[in-house]
Amino acid sequence: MRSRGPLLLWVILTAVVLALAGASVLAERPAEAAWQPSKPVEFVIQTSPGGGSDVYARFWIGIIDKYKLSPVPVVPVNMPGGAGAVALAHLHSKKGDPHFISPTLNSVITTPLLQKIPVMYLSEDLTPIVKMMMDPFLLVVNPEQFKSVEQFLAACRQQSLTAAGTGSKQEDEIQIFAMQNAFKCQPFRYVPHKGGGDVAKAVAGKHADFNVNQPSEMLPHYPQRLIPILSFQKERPKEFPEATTHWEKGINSQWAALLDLETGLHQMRGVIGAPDMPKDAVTWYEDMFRKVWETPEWQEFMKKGAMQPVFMRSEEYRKFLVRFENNHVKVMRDVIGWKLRDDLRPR
Amino acid sequence: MEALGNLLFGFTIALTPYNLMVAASGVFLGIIIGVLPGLGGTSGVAILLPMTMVMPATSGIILLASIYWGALFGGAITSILFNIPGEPWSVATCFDGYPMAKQGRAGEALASAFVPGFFASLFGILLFTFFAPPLAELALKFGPPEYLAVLLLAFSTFAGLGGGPLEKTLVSMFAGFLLGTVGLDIVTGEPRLTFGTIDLLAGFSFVTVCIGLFGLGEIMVSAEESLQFRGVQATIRLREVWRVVRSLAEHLRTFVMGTLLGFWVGVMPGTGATPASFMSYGLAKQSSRHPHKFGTGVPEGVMATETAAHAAGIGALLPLVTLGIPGSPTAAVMLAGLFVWGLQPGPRLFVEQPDFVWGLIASMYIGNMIALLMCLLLVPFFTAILRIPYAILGPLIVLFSAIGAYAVKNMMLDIWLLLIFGVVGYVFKKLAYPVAPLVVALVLGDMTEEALRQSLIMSDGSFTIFLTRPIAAALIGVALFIFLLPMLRPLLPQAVGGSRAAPLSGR
Repeated sequence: MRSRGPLLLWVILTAVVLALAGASVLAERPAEAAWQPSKPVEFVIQTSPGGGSDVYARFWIGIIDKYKLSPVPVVPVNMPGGAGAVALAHLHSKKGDPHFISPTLNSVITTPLLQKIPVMYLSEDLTPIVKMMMDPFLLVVNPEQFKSVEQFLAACRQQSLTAAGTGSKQEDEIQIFAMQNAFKCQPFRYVPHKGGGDVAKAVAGKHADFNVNQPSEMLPHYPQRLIPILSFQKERPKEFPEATTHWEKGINSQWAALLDLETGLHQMRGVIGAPDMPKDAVTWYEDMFRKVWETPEWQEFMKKGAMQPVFMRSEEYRKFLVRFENNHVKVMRDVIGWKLRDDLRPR
Repeated sequence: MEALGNLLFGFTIALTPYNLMVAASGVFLGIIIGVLPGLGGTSGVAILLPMTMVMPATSGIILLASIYWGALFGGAITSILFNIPGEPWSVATCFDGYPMAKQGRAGEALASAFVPGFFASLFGILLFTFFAPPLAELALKFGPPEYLAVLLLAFSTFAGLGGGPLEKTLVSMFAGFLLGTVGLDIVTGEPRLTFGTIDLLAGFSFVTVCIGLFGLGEIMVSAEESLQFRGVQATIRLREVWRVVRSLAEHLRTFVMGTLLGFWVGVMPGTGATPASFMSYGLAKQSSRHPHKFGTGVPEGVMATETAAHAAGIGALLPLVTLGIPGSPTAAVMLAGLFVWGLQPGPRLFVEQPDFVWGLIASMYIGNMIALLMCLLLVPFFTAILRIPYAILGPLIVLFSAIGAYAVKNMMLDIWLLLIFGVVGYVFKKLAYPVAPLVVALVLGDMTEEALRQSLIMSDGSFTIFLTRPIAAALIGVALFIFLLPMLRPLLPQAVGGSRAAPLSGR
């Protein structure tokens, strides 16, 4: 009998506390966002640690952690291989699960057009979430070899020049091929390399005559060993006013559009999710990545790398991707004549 | 002397209590990461990268670099104790380290890895401190033909390594080349030998194959023989460390060759320490007075590999800081760090961020010293692991191996491959096929093919490119000489053996 009293009291107190806690949870719920991740989010990365997309994913995760933007951890999961094929197939298999996202780079556009994997068009087969920036292409040469674009064009019409680029049948080669046609150069020799840093090194060390690269990859060697002589956009980049735009060179406007940053090709960094991601989950990610985009860290990073600070939400990004994909099909299949996957859905 | 002043300035940054603490915890974490099979320095650095965002940049890079040093030291531990290479460049450490451990000389083997490794690092850091910019300039001169030449050099030094009959070595080596071709071909962008599957597009990862062939294969053999590690020594005596230090003088050539090779190959972007470690081992064997003993547990074998690996680890940071190009996969993750901290790598970094650059360089000295001390103090603990009955230890190693294999690509397929390669390793062992040529071919075959095809694109298909470029031509000449040396030697026994003026022949 003696021990009963305290026990009873404890039970009652516990019940009261639990009830209060429950009530407060119930009361708070409607005020919160409609959807929140309920388990750790898997950030599926197409490269090994240190690869292009890995750098971006880990950078964003660092920002998310620092500003506590997510109630659950965002975990980087590297699934390298097949120029993104392995990671894309994995993401595709998580249909409807909003806890799987992936950084985008251009090989997620080119690889599914070439390899028979479950994903074909990103805009249709996965869920576009946000676009975080555009990384422009520059035509980069060694100043000891060429001083200006005029010199370069004269040389390329005379003889076959050697180009260095990342990977095979990927963005760099496409841009280089398009350039060859637009400027009526002799066929380039295209030497594929593993990554952007190697590509920059090839030209800086004079093992290749030029590359088309992103500013951040050229900057370590600028201006002693690498200079931009042509920029593929409407106006000269304010960081490199010396780089003439391709529009100034008076080429066929259809070619010019395909080479252009806005209407044609560039490196894009963004985020995509598993297929059929629920609408409210997409909204949650949009808001979170918008906050990431606004942080001084990301703004500073884009400024340092001379990137174009665009931000697109899901719907806008999807529309952009449709045009981007169509441009790729056009250049890859119709202009260059590569054999795309034989089950390609026409659009 | 300007560098000396800068270095002192760097020490004032690296020696602050906070940065010292950062370095010590980084090294400790690194050792643990290095010890776990499969989980190499690259993953360790990548995992901690987001955390460094809240730190000052200098402390951030010190943390990441310290993890790297720790992992370099830790990687040798698993190779020696369990025959499982923690990192690609510690594969060759297994060759002699593990036999030594089986003979009860684990302590000696570990000391032969740590002490020369430390001195190689020190040598590398000195080169880094005083010659970083000119070395970076030289690295730029190395294009695809020069890479091919260096890789051929690696193959030539490694040619005689199989030890067994030539045909078995060739079978093993070609199996490695075949495995290396699986996946997406970098030159054409076409899939090769994937049989239409997506998982095989990623190719065979070196870590899985290696852990399977060496680790699991060895465990099966050991289980069959009910292995007992004989008379495992519990402590490492100071005398033993001292003996290793003195033996450095004895093997000065191996040490210097390993360090210089390792450092240079580390500086060359994209190759990393792996070719250097094989080359160093191969050269040590070829120039040894008792080459036949290599592979049975000679400390020089461990020493040669580890000096090259450590020097390469230091070298890999050089192009990262000076050119913004990582020299190794781990350095690639650190490059991400530079961007995250808002720094622009390149020559201007030395001018604009002297506290970062010199703080990092000073912390290399400190981090490696901490790593050496920690490892030597931990040796008794590591060797004590070997006293655990194999019935318990074996399954634990299998478990960690499986985790390591899975961690590479987060794919279940890798665990199956691990098991398959374990059986292959066992069969190879039973039929006396050498495993090493397979691994070397798998790791270097891919790079070699790439360099060859890149060179041939550059030259429109003409092989003269290898003769017209002086560095490439010279290196290929050396490679051919080393390759033919074992065949030439029996032909001219008097000429070589009788001549006192031919120290390199080293009978």
